[in-house]
Amino acid sequence: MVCFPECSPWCLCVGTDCVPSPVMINALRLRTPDGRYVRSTNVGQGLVVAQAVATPGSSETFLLVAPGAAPLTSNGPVSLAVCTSSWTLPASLLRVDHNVISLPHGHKGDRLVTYEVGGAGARVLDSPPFSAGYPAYSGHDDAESIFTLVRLDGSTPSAAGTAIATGDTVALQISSNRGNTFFFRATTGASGAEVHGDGMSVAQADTHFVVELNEVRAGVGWRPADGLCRSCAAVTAVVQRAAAGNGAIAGASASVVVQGHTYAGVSQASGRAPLAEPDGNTCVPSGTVTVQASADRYQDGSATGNVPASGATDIVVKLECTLVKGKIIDSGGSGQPGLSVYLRDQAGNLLVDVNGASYHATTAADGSFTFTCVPRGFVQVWTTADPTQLQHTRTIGQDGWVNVVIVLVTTCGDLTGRVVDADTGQGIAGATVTESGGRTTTTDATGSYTFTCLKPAGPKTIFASAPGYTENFATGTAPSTGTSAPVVIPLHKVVVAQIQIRLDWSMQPSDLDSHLAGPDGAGGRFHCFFVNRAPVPYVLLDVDDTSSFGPETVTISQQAGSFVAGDYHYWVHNYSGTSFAGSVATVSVSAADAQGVLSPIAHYDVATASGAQTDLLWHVVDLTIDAAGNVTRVDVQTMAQGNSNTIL
Amino acid sequence: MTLSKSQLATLERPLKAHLADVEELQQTLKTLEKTAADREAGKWADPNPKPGHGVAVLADQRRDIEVQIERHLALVRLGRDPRVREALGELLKNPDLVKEAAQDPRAFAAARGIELPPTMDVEIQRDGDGRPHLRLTNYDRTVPFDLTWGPKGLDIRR
Repeated sequence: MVCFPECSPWCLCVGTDCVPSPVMINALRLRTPDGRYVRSTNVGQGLVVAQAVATPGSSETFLLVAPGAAPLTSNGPVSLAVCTSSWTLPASLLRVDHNVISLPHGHKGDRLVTYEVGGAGARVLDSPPFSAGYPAYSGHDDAESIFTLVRLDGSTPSAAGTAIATGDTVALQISSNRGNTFFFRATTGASGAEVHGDGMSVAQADTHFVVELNEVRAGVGWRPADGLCRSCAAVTAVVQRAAAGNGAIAGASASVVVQGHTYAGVSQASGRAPLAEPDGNTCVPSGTVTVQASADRYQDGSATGNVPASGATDIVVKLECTLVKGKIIDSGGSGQPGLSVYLRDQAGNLLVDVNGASYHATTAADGSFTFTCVPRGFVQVWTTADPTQLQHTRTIGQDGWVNVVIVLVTTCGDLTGRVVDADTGQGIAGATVTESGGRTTTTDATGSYTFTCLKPAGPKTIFASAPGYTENFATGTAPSTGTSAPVVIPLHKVVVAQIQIRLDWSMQPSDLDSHLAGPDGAGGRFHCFFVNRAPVPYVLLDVDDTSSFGPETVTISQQAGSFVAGDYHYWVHNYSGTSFAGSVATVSVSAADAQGVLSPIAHYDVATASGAQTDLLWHVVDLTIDAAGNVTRVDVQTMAQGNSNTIL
Repeated sequence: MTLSKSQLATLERPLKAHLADVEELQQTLKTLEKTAADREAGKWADPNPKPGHGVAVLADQRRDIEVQIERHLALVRLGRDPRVREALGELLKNPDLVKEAAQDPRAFAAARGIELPPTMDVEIQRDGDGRPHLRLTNYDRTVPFDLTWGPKGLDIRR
């Protein structure tokens, strides 16, 4: 059986529920008709009648001891023990004081001193048994502590055996060992409100007491009348914003841990989060608890409250916003006012608040800025005053980021330099220059370049490239002001050893031939094709491929360390005599260095050539080659009529 | 189940394209045959003859074109086969037939006397409304295509 919260001492756990246990009457309280309770004082002292207390206390509770067992009946015996402050049974009973009596002892003049229990002026005490010592008293006189409980109807005793219940009026009768009867009586006495055992008759109103019967458990106390089996209540965390109108916070996680049990909930739009255990139990044990709450855009918070023994209660938790705050200063440390600051996400998009508005702040006079209720996660603090500063990023948690410092670079310098031919030192015009921050420019006619106002200052890598040259780079430093020392980037010319023109095709048409015409070095022009595959020493058609689909390659090489300058025309002849329609023939032009490494120059597809595909000549490209191997090309891409002897 | 006019129209469109290709290929074939005949007779249209291999090249090219023509025509025959049209019509209406065709499309066709080209893949697909579509893909370098047959007829994917 598992009952949580645990059942009160007066209840039993049945399954997961608590049910009241049977009431086992073992104690009583006595109240005067005017509402005062009979109350013990220190052991050995007399009883008093005192005002009622809010909660039944042990001092006015008396335990039934033998022979006074429940159920009590009228004219039945009753013996009462004083209850200790820990609700246990001490060896102290209610007893009635002696009434010492001196009787004439005959004519001899001696007086017989004897006693009886109760009688005039005899107090009711709580004490151990009286000691022996009085004449004719040997101690342990039951009459001291066993009384007769008499139920009264008005001032009339009920019939013997009538059951006595809570609320009945009773009288406690003392049976004197001398045959007299007395009754407990509330009187003034020396201490002002004492109980004496000298009431003479139930006709006296001061012998009347209202009885309250109940169960007392050692160490626990007087059984309460409320019948509550559990001391617990439902708790709702009310999560609110600490500032700005105490607005409700939706979606907050709230929880409280009591005796190892966690009650949790998520706040609704109203900010209210009813707390419950995973099994649905919502009854939080009574007492002081601390509710923790956490929500995106807010700092974690907690609040302490008191859970009542029953019912429900709200505990308000106020959360402070998650802050991102900082300052924009210049390099001298002075705050920079009036600058726009934004929060951005990882992709550079502006972060927005719950209302969809971007987080934007304007720096105060001291340069400070504050963003409130910022969502957890990646955040970049970015200012339009220097958009190049992208480094102010952090993944923030509930505690935000409160020491952002942006040092505004208000000054900038220029980085300048030249791109030059590595061999001649001459500037290269039109070279593309890129700095490591991503900015790109082009050299002027002298090969000079400048990156103006390059930020942030510091080391940069500068890349340069130009047609006919291999790419190169150099390092320089962007100054915070002024102009840098020139960063010179030398480029080496690409050394072209050969120009290659390659033809590929497929079955239809299946017999294609490469043709190249160009300067023969003697003022005329050569025609390279399958009939004359090496018309000049520097031009060679490698093969006339008629059995497969290429490639056929024409190579233009250097002659005595340089190319034979001039115009070279390249075309393809369809020797099959059919149409180029459906052909997948292609031509590629490349430059090769001394190691045979190819650098592509151009690529052509017959399908994109203009003109009639039934024409047998595909004029592909005209190349102008200088002595150094620099190539300028004209993409002709036109169909033409002719045969294998035609020279274009 | 007969096909609607609009469905038939979508089917005829690619078939006509195939026939146009066939016509062009036949023209090329004629040119090649004449050229080959001339070359075999020692008459070269080009001033630079390629004896021997020049004739052989044309023979290879003629065979290649003949194969292409035959593949185009096979597809045209297939597209106009009444059994194919019957099956296409039924497939759109009968869920049981769709299940059967999806299991083994080639066997499904064979059971109806239809022989699919070995280069053709057939797949049953369903659209967002659960309606069956027949996807026909021909992995033939000569006549490649990717078609879908659905309620609206033939859809040429590429």
